[in-house]
Amino acid sequence: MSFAVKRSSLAGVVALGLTGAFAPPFIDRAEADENLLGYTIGAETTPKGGNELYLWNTIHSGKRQGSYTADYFRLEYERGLTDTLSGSIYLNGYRHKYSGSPVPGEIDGSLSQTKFSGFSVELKKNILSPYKDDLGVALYGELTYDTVDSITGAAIRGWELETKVIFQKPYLDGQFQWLTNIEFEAETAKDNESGAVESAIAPRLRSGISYRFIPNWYIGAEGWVDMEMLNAAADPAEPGSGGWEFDHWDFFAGPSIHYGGKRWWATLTWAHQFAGSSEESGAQNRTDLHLADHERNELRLKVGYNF
Amino acid sequence: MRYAPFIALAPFMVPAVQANQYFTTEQAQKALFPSATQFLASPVALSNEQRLQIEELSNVRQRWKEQPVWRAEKDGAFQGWYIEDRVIGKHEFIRYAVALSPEGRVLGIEIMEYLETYGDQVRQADWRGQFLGRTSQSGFKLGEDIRNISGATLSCRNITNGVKRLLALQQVALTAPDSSSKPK
Repeated sequence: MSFAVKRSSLAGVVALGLTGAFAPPFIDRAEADENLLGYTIGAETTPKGGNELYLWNTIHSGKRQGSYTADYFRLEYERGLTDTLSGSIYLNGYRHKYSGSPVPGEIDGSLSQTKFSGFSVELKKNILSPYKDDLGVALYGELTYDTVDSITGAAIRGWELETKVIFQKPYLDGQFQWLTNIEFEAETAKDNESGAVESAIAPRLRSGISYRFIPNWYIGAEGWVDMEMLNAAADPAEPGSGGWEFDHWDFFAGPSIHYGGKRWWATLTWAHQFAGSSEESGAQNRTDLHLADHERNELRLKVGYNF
Repeated sequence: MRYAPFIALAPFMVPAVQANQYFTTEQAQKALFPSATQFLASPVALSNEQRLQIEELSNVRQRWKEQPVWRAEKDGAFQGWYIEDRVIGKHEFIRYAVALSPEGRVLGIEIMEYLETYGDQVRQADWRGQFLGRTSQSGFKLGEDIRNISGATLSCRNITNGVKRLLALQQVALTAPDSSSKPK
């Protein structure tokens, strides 16, 4: 099992509330980087001088046995640096609540904790506009520092670099959107207790569609396939151990609903794991799902607020 | 309750109801044809064939089967067409009006209702002024012939395509009154 740096997180709901309460009077600014889907993002960037706050909460639930829920919280501030380049900073946190050894040998016992985990920084560069050039293209890079294992809740020191090439194709005057992200992650983490270091790389393909069925409201669907390669440190007691090896793959898909208004927007996405690989033995994958690094279901709510 | 914090935030997130209707029909008519003394409602019901013709001429889909059109007259003399239209914005429809000369030249446009977060500059005279004098033969390429507004590219594109489409609609479905009522 990887140390799972698949954060998606931060806590700070209260912080957003305070920010909203003391926000300056509304000014006419921007919302070009609105997320129509929960996971697959579009190619537009917030224009120069535009500010946006995002609040994310992703609930992961369902392991092999017992009870398991992990909330990934994330608070993001994004600013348009130029009309085609935006930058973001994130605060990330997790809430874990599980019992009954959800993944025997990997997630044992029980835990109930909520912890701030770390931060992320992100840059997004729009290369082609979906409305001027017909096919929108953007490049994305995000660096994350984590102190909590997103799956087990264990204390770690980890870094992750996530990159994306983003495509966005509008149809029907922009009423219908097709979005695709080709992603590549590289991550490394050290377990604070055991000192073990593990690294992973994970390519991923996401794609989804979104349709505005009435003013302000979009309905959509998206799915993704990802895989992960692990590089565990060699164990001196086991000659030949260590090195890169395939760890798992999985396929998620689900529906999405989005509301977009003049000042704020919200997106709710439910994703279900329909298929996944076993790790080392079929016994770990009796349901044909990969439930060590991922869960059966994810529910993500994102709220964006422009100021 | 898991989403209680979000609910607590709702009061800060509910968008204020804002007056984003800038022109009524009468106001837009007066702004676009200030010397006209009469506007005669001449709504156009388009056949499927006409809608296809419009699409062929403009390369823009004619969504509506009916198009609100008025004939502008000054003391009985035909001055041009006043057409109202809607195009897709990021969240809502953008309502605007176009004035066309009898010869098929843009005399002006006015944004009647704009509810998007960004891009209010489409209402400004210098952006709207880019359309003055354009005909169906003119270029309408966003970013080349018509200036784009960052963060509101969809609005700019759809308004630009809308004007182009209305010029084609005039060719396909609007017939000027006989020569005796040409402008003096």
